[in-house]
Amino acid sequence: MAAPALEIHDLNKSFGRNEVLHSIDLTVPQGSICGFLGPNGAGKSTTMKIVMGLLRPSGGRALVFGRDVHRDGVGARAQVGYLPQHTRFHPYRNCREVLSYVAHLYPGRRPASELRELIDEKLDAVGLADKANRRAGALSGGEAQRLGLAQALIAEPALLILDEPAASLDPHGRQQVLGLLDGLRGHTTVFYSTHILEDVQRVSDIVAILANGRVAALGPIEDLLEAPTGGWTVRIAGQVAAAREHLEAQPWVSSLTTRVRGDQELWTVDVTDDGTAAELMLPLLLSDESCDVMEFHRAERTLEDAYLEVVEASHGG
Amino acid sequence: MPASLSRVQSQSRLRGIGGLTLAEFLRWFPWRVLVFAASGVAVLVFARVVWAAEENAKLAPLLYIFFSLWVAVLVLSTVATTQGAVSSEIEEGTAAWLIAKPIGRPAFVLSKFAGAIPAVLIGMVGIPGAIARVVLKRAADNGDTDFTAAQVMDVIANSSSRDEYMNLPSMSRYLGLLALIGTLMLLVVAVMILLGCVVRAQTAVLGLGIAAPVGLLLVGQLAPTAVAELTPGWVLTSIVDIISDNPAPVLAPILVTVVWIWVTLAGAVLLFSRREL
Repeated sequence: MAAPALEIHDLNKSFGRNEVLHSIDLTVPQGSICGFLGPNGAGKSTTMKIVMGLLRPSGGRALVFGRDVHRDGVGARAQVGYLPQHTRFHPYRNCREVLSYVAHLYPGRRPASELRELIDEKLDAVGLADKANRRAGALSGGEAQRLGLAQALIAEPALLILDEPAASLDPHGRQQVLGLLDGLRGHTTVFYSTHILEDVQRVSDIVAILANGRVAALGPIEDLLEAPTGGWTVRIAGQVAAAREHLEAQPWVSSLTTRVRGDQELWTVDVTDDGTAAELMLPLLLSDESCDVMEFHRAERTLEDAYLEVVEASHGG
Repeated sequence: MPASLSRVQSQSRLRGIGGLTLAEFLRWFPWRVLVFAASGVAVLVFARVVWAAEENAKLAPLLYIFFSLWVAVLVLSTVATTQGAVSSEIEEGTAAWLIAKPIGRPAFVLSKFAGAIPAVLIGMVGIPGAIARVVLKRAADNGDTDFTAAQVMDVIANSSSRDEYMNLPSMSRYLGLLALIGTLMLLVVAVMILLGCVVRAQTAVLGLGIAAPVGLLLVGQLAPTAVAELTPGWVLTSIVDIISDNPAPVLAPILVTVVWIWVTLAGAVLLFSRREL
């Protein structure tokens, strides 16, 4: 059985008396795209830096494709492309030279034309082809982020670790990065942190939520989204007061909240018995001819709902 | 077939040292090396002009002015050039960027030193030293004295010897002198790398780098008197007897400096390996 791309066991990290990570356990299977979420200061960047050998863990260990990142750091990092949160390059090198410099850190000599082709390919992939000769020190934040992504991709790593890859990007750049990540699906494992939940929902297979230095949730994104909300959404128009009173009087309705949208109302109906609600609610509403039901379905759970729920539960203890 | 990079197989802590050393080497060549070579030649010209103005036919004052000024310029310019070798990379975050690649931390530190070796030996010491040899030879050939410059080392170490007539040193002795200056400059590079691993702020590294040679100079001035005062006479006599009976080999100062370089670099590697980035 192939080793997971990333395994973290009982990982702890303290800075002085400040304990940042508390016994983190995390597994990212090969070929998956894992979104790493959490509030500011939760420890996402610290976790990634430990995996990259930049910080020493206070306890526990991290393995990349079965290689311990501290005992066999070189072997582990050989499999990884890393984009830090704040990208830094030698400012006097241009984009092409930065990538050439990184390429020279890998073994083997290759013809200059081949290297140039590789560099052009990566610059093109991140949308920097027209800025190949611009000095790294003169790049904007978003351009530096793109260059960071290109250097992380240059050796075609089996695992990409990206710390907020879309943080400084404009909408077009963000779409480009998401497309790039989507294109890597299947052959490259991606472990990335972000605060843009919409992006995670769009491209990730699995999600890990870090809160208060602990993994508060980990699993396939569908599992998080499919958790029952216990609610239904109704959009209704016309003379709705009687219908609302009638519905609120049902024993299986626990609460009904209303939002007015123009000449319509949007109800969120929380129920105690989902089966009965699924069977009786719509016929009950349709039986009232003074109003029209425009929309009726189970309330959809977004990743934002799941994230806030997990983080709030973690804060609430 | 699209181009791709080869997979890293080695797990050595020195992996990547070749690529890093080449990059460091290219940071020195050609401009920094040319500037250093030019500054060495400028010091020589200055010393030659001062010497000629004094209408002093003795070679010793020329040697004294040139070598003392040159070594001072070399030390200061080496400190200024290498103060950011490690500290700026840590401060600016590029060290973390590089260490996240499949390279060993010792490779990062040692490449800083290895990349500087050709620049120091060729550009800083070799080129000005060769030009100085030609100028000194011409001065010796054209002067109306026999230029009894017997010990260039004495000229550097002891200012009183400038009053002596001395011969132009032999080529082997002269090369030995240049080798000693070269290794001393490499020791300065190693110390600056070590300071960069200890102190995070680049300006602090520069300050310490300048303060260290000045401090050593002061200690060097005071130490002989202090040692003579504090050491019992019979101990000094015994040491002198041992030294006179067993003269140190000519290469001893160079070898001792090389040992110090390795000790300093080992300390730098150890400290950087434990450092969080």
